[in-house]
Amino acid sequence: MRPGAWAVFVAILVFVHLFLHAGFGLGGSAPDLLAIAVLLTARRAPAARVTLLALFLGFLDDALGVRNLGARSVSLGIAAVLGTWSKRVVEGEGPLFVMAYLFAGKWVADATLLVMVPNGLPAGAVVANLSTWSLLAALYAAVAGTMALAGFRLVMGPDA
Amino acid sequence: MPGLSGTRRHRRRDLALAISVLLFAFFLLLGPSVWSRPIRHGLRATALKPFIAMRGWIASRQAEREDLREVRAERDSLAAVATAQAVLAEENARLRGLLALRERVGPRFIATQLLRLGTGAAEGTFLIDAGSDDGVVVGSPVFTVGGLVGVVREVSGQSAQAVDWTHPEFRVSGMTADGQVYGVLEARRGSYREEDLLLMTGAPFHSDVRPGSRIVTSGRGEVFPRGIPIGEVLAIESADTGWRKSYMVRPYVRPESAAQVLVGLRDSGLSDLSTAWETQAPRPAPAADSLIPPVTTGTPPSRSP
Repeated sequence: MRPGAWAVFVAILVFVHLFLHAGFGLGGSAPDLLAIAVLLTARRAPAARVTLLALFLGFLDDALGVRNLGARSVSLGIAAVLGTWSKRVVEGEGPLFVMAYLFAGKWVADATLLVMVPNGLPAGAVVANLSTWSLLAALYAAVAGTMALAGFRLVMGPDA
Repeated sequence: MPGLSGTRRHRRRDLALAISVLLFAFFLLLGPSVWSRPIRHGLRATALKPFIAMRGWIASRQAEREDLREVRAERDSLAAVATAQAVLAEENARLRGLLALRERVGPRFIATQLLRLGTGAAEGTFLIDAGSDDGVVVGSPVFTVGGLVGVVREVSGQSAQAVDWTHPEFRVSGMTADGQVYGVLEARRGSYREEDLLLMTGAPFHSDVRPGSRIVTSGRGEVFPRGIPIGEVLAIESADTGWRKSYMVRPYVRPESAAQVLVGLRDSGLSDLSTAWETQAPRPAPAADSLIPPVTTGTPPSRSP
């Protein structure tokens, strides 16, 4: 893989995420490309570097609200650390594995955020959220992330 | 794979660094908001600026495509109401001056556009394209012709960020339109965003507020002007216990439907807008040439310009 190619890929994901979410205001209608960028990078870089990426991307996302910075960074960071650990368990990166990995990672990140940040939701609504919307968002991210990675490999070669 | 092929010591160091980064983010989350504010403002002014500007541009194009005539008529009506109210306040101030009372600044409002960002962190918040240069301050109320929308939380030169009534930190002091029962309203989240309501807490135990009663801002705390419609009572809350009662209130304005809003400027919280919506008077029939449509259920009566 050409040096810097992955960084460009991550930058494109971040740009498209902000373009769709902040620029167009699509919200949940657009996939969470920040989580995809962090989770895919976690399979290719050391934990410290990925958590730094998660910190920065989390700041970008949180800066659009009024709550303290850090919530999204922590949730993405935890998913990133688990992602780097997953490399020791599963070596390959077939489409099915990538999809399952992104699905699980995105759900863990969402669950962490939902539990960590006070949002005024009653307990029943938190469970309903985790078992419906978070699962759908995770599925959406998994499909979008797998397609994005496939596109990257199409350009950079199958070993990328 | 640098992180995986290294020695155990390297891996430990890598993990320790990762945990340090996570702890830093966690401390920032739990720390006072002044730690986050400079970073947030810096990011908004640099990396996020093009996207926020693009959101504003798209929102204005969308607004133009929608029913322009209706939106502008609504805004003009509100501006006329606010202007008329300013005259009344000036007169009131003159009378107060005659009575040697402390002179108060009359209500001042600015019409502006509401921008909603689509990120998870921005849920329950919105941007307005007016800031401290226009006189907007932290605590400025935001409302439409229908009623209260939210309150400004952070202000910069050209824009401000506000929370709407669905945000968990939103609070407003309210009262029944007849001024008999007072309470504090806060968001009560439903399972879905469409089910979000307000909960009026702290009402006296002997109070009996009927379903359909109108709730308006009380003016207590001098953040929100008195008399802005908030919503109507749905029912007494089922979990009501103790010496006070709580009522579920259905707000008149859904935040997601608001596009053009009025924002209070400095000291607008001191004013009384009861007459602007005629919240205590019987509802008048709208004039034939009125820009404001006849009032329907769920919408507070408006004053004809």
